[in-house]
Amino acid sequence: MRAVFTLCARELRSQVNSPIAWTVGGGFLLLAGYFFFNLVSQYSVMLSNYAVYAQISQNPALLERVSLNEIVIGNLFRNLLVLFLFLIPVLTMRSFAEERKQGTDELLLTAPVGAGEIVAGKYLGIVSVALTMVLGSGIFVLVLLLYGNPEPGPVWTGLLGLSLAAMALVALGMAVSAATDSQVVAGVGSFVLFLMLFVVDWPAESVGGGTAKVLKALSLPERFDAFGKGLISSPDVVYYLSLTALGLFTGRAILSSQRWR
Amino acid sequence: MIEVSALEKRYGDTTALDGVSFRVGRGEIVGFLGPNGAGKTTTLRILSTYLTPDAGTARVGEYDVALQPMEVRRRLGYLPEHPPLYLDQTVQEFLRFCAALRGVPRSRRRGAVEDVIERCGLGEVRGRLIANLSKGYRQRVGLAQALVHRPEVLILDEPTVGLDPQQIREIRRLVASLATEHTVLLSTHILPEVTMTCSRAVIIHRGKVVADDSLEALSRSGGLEEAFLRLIGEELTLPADAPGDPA
Repeated sequence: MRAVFTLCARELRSQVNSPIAWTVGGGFLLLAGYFFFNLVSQYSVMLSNYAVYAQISQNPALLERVSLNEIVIGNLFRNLLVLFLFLIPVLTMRSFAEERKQGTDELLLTAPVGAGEIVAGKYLGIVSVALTMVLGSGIFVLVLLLYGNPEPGPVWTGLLGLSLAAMALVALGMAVSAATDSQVVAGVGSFVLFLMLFVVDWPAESVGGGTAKVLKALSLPERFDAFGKGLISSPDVVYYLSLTALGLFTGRAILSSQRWR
Repeated sequence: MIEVSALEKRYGDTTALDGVSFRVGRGEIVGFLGPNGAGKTTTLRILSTYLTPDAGTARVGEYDVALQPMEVRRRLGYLPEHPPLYLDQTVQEFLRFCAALRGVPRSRRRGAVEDVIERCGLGEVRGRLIANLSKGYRQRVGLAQALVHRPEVLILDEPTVGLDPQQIREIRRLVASLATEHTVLLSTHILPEVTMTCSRAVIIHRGKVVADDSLEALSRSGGLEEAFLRLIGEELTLPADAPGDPA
């Protein structure tokens, strides 16, 4: 446990000292701000249009269809999830590939520390960076809470969903990085893997039946939708936690198998 | 303290080790000698638990490197061929990290790091980033990380390779000073290294031990260099660039 803390502290320090984490975090927040601005403008245009319709048709209930939660918050979170696809590989690609390239894996693997502890320590370091990014995107939501009247429930569940997705993707990205000594291979590999998780349910419509159900169940954005609507369902939570566990255990298995080359 | 017996290791079709056996007693400094590509690094990596052997056993103290790697790692200091350093840390930060990683208790960590900084002559550069250090200093940091937890056994893979003569002398003096406290196995393909620091040499060639004797015995008939060349069957032309040790 002590070693996990030591390794986590080192990883965090190295992330904070490197321009990579700052670029990724800054880029994430910049794009999030851009998305937010656009969604809010779209919302206000829509709102004024609906106000006119409502007046013409003498039906004020029309206005209630323009939901701040759905149009701004729901879409913002969905867009941020797509950003993860591009940015999380950048955070994780270095994790093990660089250690192998620099030969520092020899230091870690000959220290009295288990492969599981190495993976856990590094994971906690990198996932803290990713979760800080999620937390940072809360700033836009805060603006809405201050100046608008969204339902707060879906805001919190959305942030929870994003956090769970970040946890899963970081774990998987690290597992890919453990399998190579090239950062580029790790980065591209994780991107392809993540993209597969995003589009895995595309054939669902055409195949139908049980297969469609399975494909939909495996789809990462599909699993995210409920969070955006304010629902926390245990299958969704279990899905993200299972992906996290899968990534961590695969990473550990790859790392400990290196001795047996 | 170190006991290697009938060690075998293959990489694909290449046989790196073909039945290597030798022993190193407590407090000895033994030179592990051989031309490039002889299997030195592979043997040391197996001893360090970084690799596992295909056949044969290796023990450090009473622990088998393949079966009880954690016990071995606790007792071992290891300087790989390329010193494993985090370039984005200062010397002091890095050594504290290594001490923590090797389980030096928090209360003794500061003292342990101060001690190796002193012993390895790193006082002047303690606050510098490792990325900005010269090769000689990096090698010393590498040695310091291997020593920081005061291991019983030290394994050094070519500790002086790539250094200038002045730096080589310093490292050798440092290694020689370790004898009283540690058991040292040191690999090299440079002969004078062995004569200056070791009491005994194990010579390995093409994955086999070809000699294992005290330095006096080895150099009895003509110098050590001749003995070395005779043993590896080369006529005074050392293969300067034989295929490198499998990395």
